[in-house]
Amino acid sequence: MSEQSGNGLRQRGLAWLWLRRFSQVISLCFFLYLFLRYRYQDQNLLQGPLHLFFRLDPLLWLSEIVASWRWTWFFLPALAVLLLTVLLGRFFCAWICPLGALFDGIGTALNARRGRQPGNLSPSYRLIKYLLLLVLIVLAIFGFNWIGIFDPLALFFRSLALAIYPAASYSGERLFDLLFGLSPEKWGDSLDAIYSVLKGPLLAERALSYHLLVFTGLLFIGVLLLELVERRFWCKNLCPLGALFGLFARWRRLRRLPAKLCGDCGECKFLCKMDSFATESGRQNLRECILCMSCQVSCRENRVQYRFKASQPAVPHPDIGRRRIVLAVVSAAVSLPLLKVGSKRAQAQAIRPAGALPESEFLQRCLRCGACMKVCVTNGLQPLLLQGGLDALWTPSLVPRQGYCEFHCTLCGQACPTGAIRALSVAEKQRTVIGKAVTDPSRCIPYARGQNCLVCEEHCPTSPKAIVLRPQKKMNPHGKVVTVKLPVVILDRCIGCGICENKCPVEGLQAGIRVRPLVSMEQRLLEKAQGAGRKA
Amino acid sequence: MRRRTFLKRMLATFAMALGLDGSLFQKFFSEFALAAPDLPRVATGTNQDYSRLLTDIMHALGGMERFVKPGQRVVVKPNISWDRRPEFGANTNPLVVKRLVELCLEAGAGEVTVMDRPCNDPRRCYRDSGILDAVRSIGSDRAKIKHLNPRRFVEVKLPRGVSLKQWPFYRDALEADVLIVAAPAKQHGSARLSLSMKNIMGLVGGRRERLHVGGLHQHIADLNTGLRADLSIIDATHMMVANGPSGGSLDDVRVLNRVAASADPVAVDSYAATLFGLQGEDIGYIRYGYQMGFGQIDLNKINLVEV
Repeated sequence: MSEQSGNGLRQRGLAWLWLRRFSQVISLCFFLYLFLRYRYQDQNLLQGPLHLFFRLDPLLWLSEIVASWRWTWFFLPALAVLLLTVLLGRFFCAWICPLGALFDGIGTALNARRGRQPGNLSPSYRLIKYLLLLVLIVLAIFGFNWIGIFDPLALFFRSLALAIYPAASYSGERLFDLLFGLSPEKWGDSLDAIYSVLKGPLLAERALSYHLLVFTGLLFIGVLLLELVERRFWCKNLCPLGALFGLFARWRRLRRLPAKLCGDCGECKFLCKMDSFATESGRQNLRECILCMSCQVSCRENRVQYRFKASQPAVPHPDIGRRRIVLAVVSAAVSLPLLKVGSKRAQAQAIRPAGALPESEFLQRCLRCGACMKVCVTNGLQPLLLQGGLDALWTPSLVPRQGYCEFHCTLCGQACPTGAIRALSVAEKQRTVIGKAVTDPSRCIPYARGQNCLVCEEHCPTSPKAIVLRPQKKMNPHGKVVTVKLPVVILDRCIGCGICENKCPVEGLQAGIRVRPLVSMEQRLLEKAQGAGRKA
Repeated sequence: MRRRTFLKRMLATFAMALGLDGSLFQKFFSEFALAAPDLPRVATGTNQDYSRLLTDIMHALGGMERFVKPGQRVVVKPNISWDRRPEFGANTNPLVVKRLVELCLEAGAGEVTVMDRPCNDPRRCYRDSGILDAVRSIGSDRAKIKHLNPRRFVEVKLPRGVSLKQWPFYRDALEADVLIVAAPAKQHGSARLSLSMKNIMGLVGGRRERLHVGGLHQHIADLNTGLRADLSIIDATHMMVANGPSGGSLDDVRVLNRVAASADPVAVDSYAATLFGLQGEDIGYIRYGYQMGFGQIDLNKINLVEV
């Protein structure tokens, strides 16, 4: 009897294993698919369940609540995930998390090539993720929200948006360059047809580049290569979302039988990617098990099965220790002023997208997921590195020389999963001032060289135009005094979209006209003026 | 070979070529026949029914068949520069573009491709100008609307250019059998008016902003030596009189419901200038175009036909 039922267990385990792999592949593909949907889709409207993965993430829910001190139902799906976690444990990590799926795929491929399984680090490493979670939450409560920087979904999305996708799209373009170059006469038209189909859905509409491309990309590759150190290194030791799930897994009902390593075998200890079996007691740590089903499939004795148990399990606390917790909280609180150094400068450096909340609130609620930068039609939204202090790392800022803010576009507000950038109507957006253009007489062609130009005036989208012409006598390059039309910015009309700076024909990084960010005083003056305007 | 034999055979070859290729024969003679006595003809008219209007105007120019022969590849270049809806007059009116494409198809064109190089995001311009939907609504697989592919620009030498000696042009426009430019009539800060000759800038590559510096008007005239429209249309259905070329306010738009067309770009631009109360001579690139021999600027020497 035992022979047969044992085989049955393994068979059933195998079915679950394949189901899990299937779920992982689907989840990863769907994540990538949704990622690619963050783009202008023939209308100024993002459609579909774009934010689905973010909404499934209870850590981002927590971040949003702590950042805004407001209850939000937007993350309701995350509640379902949490409830399931209470029942099943960390199933999310092996069944849904797209980054986890990538780890499994890459880890298997890398280690198969090297022909060995990596070892496991000391179990104490895994406490890092709990401490990280704790520190992140404490910091967020005190106004320094870095949760999005470590959240796996935000991290994955950001790395795709700022590094992997631009690189992949670039490679695709170069491939087409090569093919077009081979025989333009013979293949040009059919290639053109293929190209025009891929352009948009798969290849980026324009050559993308981001300030932190290399940094973000290397960091991401680094995280993936941790698989060489040990399997699921990130999930075991660093992932704050995993830690959160771990905390909720203490009530977990679905449990492995036998609960311990078997005295006569103990293979599971080496098999388990999460290294969930304690060295001394051989007991499985239910906070760490991610339900990958590998042990059930591999058990030679056909003993392993997963069963629902009504009784409260004996789940060990994450063995952090009270003193470490206190130390972490205190050091987080103490380091706050240090982390905030330079933050005030963010406002003076950054041109935030239209609809961005007031700076401090914006910094709190921005997940650094990069969705706004992915969706930006001109590639003008760029991540900040440290210009705005640690606080503003990876937050979006318009770089007009790179791309301007498209007058009729409101996609970044729609792409933002938290409302750090509000979804504005087109009319609202067109009234929203994000900066102010100023001409630089030392570089602007009519001022500096006495030649007509006026590209900025031509492109200015406001009506009436914020750039007007003033004829004036200037000396031209041939030494003759001629009348040229100088561009003059009417500050009251300028919204800071930056198309003037973008299209300015002056060579080099510094255009002849530049958008300056709004510093707080100017902003106040402006609001006052607008208020006065409304009253009048 | 003796000279006499050679000359005989050459003559025979030409005769055969002319005989075999009727169109060449026709072209050879018709051009001679037409060119000498006729004044350049500009047809214009007003009508709220743009479809009707285009038909009448083309009829007055001898029908679209005069410009488009069966099987030919036609490029229609409207202005799709700005992310603005049709009523703002920043782009060519979609109904004008649609009828133009239909007329080409009716004349037997093998393929009609609509294209422009916008200033704002191309996808948004094609969509919001209404031109994407207008061309698609024709429902013919011979009518296409395409975005420009940056790989398809080729450097063109401009030996007749005064200040530009070469510039990249779009290959498909260069290779087209027939090029039709359909320009909205607009006020323009630096060019003063944006008309059909100015619209050639939508088919050139490179950093176009550079063209504004060091004599925009001469640059426009020079670019017109690289690419000449076989038919130039001025769309003054919604004429933009201020805040151009991008506009953005209906206050800047005069609804004239007028369209003008000619095989002579200088003539039609010179006529269009009068709609703004100006003369062709007032606009630098029109004047240069006349001086460089692209066409007639003097309205007294133009056969203006009101339909």
